[in-house]
Amino acid sequence: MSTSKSPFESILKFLSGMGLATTLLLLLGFQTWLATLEMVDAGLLATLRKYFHWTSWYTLGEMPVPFLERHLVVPMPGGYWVCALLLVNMTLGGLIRIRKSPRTVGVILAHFGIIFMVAAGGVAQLYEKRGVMFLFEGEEADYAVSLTKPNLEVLEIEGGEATGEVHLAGDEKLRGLESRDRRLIRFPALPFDLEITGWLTNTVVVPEGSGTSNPAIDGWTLRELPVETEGELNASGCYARVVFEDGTRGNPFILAVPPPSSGMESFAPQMIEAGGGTYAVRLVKQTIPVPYRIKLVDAVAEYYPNSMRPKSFMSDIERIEGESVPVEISMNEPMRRGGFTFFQRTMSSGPQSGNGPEFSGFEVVSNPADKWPEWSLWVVTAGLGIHFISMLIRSVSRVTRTPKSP
Amino acid sequence: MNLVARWILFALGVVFVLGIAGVAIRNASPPEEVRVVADYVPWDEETLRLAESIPVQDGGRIKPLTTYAGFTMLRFYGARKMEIRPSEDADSVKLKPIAWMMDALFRPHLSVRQPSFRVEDSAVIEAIGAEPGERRDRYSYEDLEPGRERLLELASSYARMEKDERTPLENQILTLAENVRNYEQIIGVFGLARNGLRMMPVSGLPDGANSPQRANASAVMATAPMIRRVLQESESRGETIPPHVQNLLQQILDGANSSKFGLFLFPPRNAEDEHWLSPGERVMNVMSMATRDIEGSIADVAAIETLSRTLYDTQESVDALAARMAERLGHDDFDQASPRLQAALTREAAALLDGAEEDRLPFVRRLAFQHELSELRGDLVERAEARGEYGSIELEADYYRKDWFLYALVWFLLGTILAIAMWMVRGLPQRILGYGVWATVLAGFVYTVIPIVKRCLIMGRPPVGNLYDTIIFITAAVVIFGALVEFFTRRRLALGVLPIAGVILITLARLFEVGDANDHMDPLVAVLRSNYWLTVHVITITLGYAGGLVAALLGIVYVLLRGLRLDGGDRGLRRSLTRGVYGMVCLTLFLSLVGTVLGGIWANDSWGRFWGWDPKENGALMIVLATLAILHARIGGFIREWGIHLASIFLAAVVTFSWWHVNLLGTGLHNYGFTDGGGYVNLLYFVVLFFIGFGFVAMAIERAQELPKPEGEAEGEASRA
Repeated sequence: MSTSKSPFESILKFLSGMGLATTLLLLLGFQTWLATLEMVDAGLLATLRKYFHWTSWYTLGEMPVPFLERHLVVPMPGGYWVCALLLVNMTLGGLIRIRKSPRTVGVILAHFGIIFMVAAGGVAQLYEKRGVMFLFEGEEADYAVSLTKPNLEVLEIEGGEATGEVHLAGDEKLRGLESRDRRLIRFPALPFDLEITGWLTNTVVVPEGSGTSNPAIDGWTLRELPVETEGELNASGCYARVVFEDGTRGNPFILAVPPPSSGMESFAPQMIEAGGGTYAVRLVKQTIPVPYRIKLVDAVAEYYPNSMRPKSFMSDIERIEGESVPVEISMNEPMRRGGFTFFQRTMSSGPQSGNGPEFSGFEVVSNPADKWPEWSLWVVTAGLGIHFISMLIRSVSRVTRTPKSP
Repeated sequence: MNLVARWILFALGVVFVLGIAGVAIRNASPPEEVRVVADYVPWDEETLRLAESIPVQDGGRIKPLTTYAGFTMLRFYGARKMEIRPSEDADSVKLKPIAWMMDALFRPHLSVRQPSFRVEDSAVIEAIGAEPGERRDRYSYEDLEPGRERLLELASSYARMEKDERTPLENQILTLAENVRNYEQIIGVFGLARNGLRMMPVSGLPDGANSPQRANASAVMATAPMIRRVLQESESRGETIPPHVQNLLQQILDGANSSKFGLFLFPPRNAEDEHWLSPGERVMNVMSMATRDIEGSIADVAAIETLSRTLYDTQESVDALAARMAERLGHDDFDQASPRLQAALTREAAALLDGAEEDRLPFVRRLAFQHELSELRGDLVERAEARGEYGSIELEADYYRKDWFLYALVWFLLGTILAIAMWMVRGLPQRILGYGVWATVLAGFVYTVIPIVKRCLIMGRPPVGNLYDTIIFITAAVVIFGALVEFFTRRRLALGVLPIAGVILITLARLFEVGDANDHMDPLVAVLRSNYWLTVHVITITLGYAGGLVAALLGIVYVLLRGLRLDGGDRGLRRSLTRGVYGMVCLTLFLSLVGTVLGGIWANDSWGRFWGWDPKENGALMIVLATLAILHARIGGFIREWGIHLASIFLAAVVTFSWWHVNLLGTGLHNYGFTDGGGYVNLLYFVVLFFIGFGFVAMAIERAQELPKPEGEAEGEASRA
């Protein structure tokens, strides 16, 4: 009888093996450790991009060397792909190839739970929308603004009013742009496209002659700012020019997201005449529509007496969808409705403010896999519980059967 | 070799016990140098007992004065006990926090001479232009006063700098300035009540009517409507405010400001108002007509005026004071006083009647002060009870009086000594010593669990809400987990580890409390205020830390036993330990994984994201990954007995990173646990590396000496287990 295995079987065995699992788990733990240390200086977003983004096939980890103010550079595969391989390993080894018996029920359940949890993460990464909604008391809104993702918006203008469809170039078209890049953003439904150059992740519009080498247009230019470690503090900007259907190009103009501290949603748009129509172009943070209106009735920030320690942040809102429904949103008590979840994110003032809070900020999230981690937890808990308890029982019964050593 | 190794270990154990005992004693002891504070008279126990459970508001909650005193003293002085001497020849006096606080509040002339400020580096003192002492020393307010202006000036400029840009020296200057400012607020609490207001001569009045005199703030408060009318009339006539009124108002304003922040002592009359009031606020609220409780405010200020002046009554007033006390002793109040106070008053009265003339003054003062303090306390307690805010004050005062964890430490230390002796002998003596270890561990456990339960009752929340809570909770959990391992293995190895772990963890808790100097029973910030999540997530993850530590300790025991050939090649013994470690790694995985995911679900409900790569989350994930790697490597046959034990020792480093190190990074959303102490963390990493290195060397030597056959059999059997 031949014992040689086909290459397919060998690969399958390798991919589902304990050796690969152990290696990947160690590697992932090591990467998590390095990323945790590095994010202190480099910031969360930059560190995640370096270690765990899908575009990072490999990464050069920086391991601190004890007693020396130096780092040892460690090349390793990208964390995203380590996770992906681990998922394959888990599926093959922990679900498909594992021996199916009463003894392995717990292990199979636990692996299934983990895979389900990772799947929840994948779904969230692909389909999650996340933004903020800031409301002053008495104000209403039916949309949130993305925290990080910029949107290039083109609005059709008629009689000075925006009409018709809003044409968008979102994160998928703008992702990865750098200052040296030149990228043509196509708008098939419009009589023109836009050519983007000089993209800056964090910038501010300043008058010409403010000590920057970037081109000046109509007396204004872009000054590059350091990329903030908190991604939502960045305001992107770029130079753009219209490329008409006949290939001719218009004059360059500046597009920029207003700085978060300004409180503005957008700068005045650039007006374009093309194909007999008028269009307004602007760069804003992505808008996320919500299927109902939210009205902030009262924002209540409570602090413990005679201290600066926050006790409770709570917003009384009205959810308006046909009829008005009063709802209370507070820390640990979000509102879930219509595929969106509203979390209490921020309030305008502290205990030192005599007039009380004026506005409330909600984090608005749409995530189809919102509850999946919770469900997967029950599966994992049950799986590990079954496995470890049965192991314990077997071990105890074996000990009681074994005669005592002298 | 075996015997030599055994004695070496014994010696190391003794050094360990002595070292820890030394750290604990040093931690609980005041500095060696005893400062002379001339004419210092200690407070009597009865007065201190009365004072310690006076309710005050601090850190957002109502707590006994003794708690406030304890943590304030820790912040300023770095210890809970101060030793001073009334004169060069006199015996030293040990001041507890409540006595130290009473001095600051009621006898500032003595307090300012006590060495209340710890300064780590004398360069700080040089920088502010005061007289430096030893490199690390303690200074009185009087010592620092010449450099006070410079200190505040420097602190003001450093406060404008980014935190990361400040040098350690600049941080120390900032801390000292903050402590000095807070101290000034405390000694100012009763300043206005004690000193009163100096009245200026009123122009136009005959000389006889203008003799210099003092007025009580409470009396001036009673005339607030009149003063207001005078001000309004002056304003309507376009005249300037009369100088004597202007001067009076300025004194009131200054006095009220200096007694505004040091102590929030008075419960508000309005049941819905959560803010307790300081003496300064009581005064200002009446003077500015910002309260409807004018009579109550005046009564409160009058009460502290009487109280705070009693200690300063002069010899001339002794007879009047004695008469007053005698009258009070026969008054109904006496019958209402507690039996303890009645006894004290009677004793004092007898001493007063029999005492020499020159001794009468201190007697009378003390008696009168005690009586007035009792009156004020009674009133405050009654009002706090009416508001439902006095419920756990006595319990908390008792908690700090009993010092439970010190006793727990003593039991664990005793247990450690017995455990070392137990490992040195065999047969019946070992069994008897084993019972002794069980008994001491049980006592230490009880002395750990009782205060944890008390803390829960006081805080009204589950046991773990901050870093300090985790240490004491992990101590109890380690004892339970270790006892379980011992129950299954019955080799007295896990048993012996328990008191050692108890000693290390309780010492860590005490060091952390002194270093952090924050009241860890203060209420939690908004996002943590969820008893459900604190119970299911925080406790689970903390138990996971405990499991990892027990696994690591057992791993160390294994490595030492086998590496030093102390186990005599007993394969059963090795198997037992391996089984125990394997079980603990499984338990750690279960608790850490479930706890981490529960944390994610909580985060999803609080912040709208399951996973945010926060350092604390990453740390928990690392424990999960490390335990998974150990178990997969074990099942895959990549590690056997040596391997699983060395890996479990490494688990201690991962747990330390997750539990402590991430708090030192200064970033992330779990910002309730930030602390200093990188040195201790690095020490633990070093210890872990040492044992792993030792294990590898021992393993290599064992293999080189070709002892594989029994080893291989043992491995085979163990791996099947």
